[in-house]
Amino acid sequence: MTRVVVEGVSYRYDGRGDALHDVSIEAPSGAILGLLGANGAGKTTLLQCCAGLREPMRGRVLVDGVSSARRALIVSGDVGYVAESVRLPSDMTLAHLEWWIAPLHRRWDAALATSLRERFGLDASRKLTTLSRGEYMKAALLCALAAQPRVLIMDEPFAGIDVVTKDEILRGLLATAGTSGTTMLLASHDIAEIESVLSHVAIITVGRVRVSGSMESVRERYRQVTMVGGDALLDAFAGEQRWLEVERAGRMLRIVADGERTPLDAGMLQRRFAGADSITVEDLSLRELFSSVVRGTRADSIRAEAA
Amino acid sequence: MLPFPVLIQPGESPVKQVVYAASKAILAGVMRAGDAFPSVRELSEVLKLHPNTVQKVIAELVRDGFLAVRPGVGTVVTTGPRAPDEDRRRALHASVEQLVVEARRLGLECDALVSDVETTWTAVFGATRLTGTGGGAVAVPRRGGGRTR
Repeated sequence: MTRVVVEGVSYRYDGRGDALHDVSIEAPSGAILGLLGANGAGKTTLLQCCAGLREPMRGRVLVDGVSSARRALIVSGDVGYVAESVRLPSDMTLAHLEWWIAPLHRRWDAALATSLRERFGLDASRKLTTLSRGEYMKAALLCALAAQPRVLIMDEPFAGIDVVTKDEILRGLLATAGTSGTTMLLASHDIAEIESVLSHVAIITVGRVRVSGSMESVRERYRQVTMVGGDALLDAFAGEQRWLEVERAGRMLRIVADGERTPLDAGMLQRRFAGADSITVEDLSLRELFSSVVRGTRADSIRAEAA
Repeated sequence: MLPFPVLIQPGESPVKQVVYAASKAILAGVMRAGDAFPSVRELSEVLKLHPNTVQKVIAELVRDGFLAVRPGVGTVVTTGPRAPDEDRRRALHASVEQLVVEARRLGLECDALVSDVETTWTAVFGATRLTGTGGGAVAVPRRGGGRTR
């Protein structure tokens, strides 16, 4: 059974349009899914629906087949939730906090907590209020990971955190994903830094899923083509269809294409556009794909308003 | 630290990048037959790659004959790749054709390109040559070693 199944979820805040519209994504056991979206795209709303903190107006979120809204999964310890704004009891030391929350979680792993504390370089005897921002986030993640939830939801855990600490956290997540099978949903703007860590990805813009799947399938599906040549050729290729994105400067044209609609092969293009000086078909980094999708959606909405 | 150099660049498939780096290091003798290959866990943490991605890297290197899985021991470097199969020979031919066309576009003559290829080959692998039909990579002196094809 697929660990996390989001099925046609829609959510609306009072007096505003749909924050989420018919969102469907899936993540298997042990997956690390990157949830990418511009500010206001609906990432936090979606993650809160997954955690059972909000109930979708339509659709549902299943964790191992159980609806996250129906049972308080977050209370039972099946779902962990760590957000940028997380607050820990300020009077406690980390040791005290661990002692306090361990009995609340039936799968609490004290050895894992200890190893994460060492890995993160945290001093268990210090009061939580004296921790730096990075240490505070590491303490929160330690507690979430040691509870061994089926799903760990992280909403911008790296905001305002230095690169060394970020790397420590990412390595801690990988070590846990590899051994415990916890599925992680991770919303972050640090796309270039998290790309390699992800096994799955979902890109949402204005409440809709535009791209989703395993990193491998997404990498194979979306390509960029760069063509250098005369105006007539560039016009012909640019106008062939509604590409995901088209950019043009002088004699160079760059398009981003969804390979599922149009299989793109350098040899085939070279034969069809034999007059071009050069044609290359390349993979996209996740950051480039994300930018294309966001810019493409904005261009669409401007066109729609103008029409 | 890993026993072979690799730096993952965003954009290209990380599986391809790590497979390339590891096979290059094995062919160049940076890692030798019998050496232990890092575990999934170690590769995952050092390279910050998802364990599934690392599994794919190891599967490809095993398939290509660079690694062998020894139950209870782990993954070890083997003597070298099997003889290349026909499909992959054809794929290589396509790259060679591209290289030849590109060289010609730059105005290079064939010997200049061949000499470039030889220099690069030596820089990457040292003076090694594949010998025999078993497909094992064996280091033999290039000149004066008494061994000729």
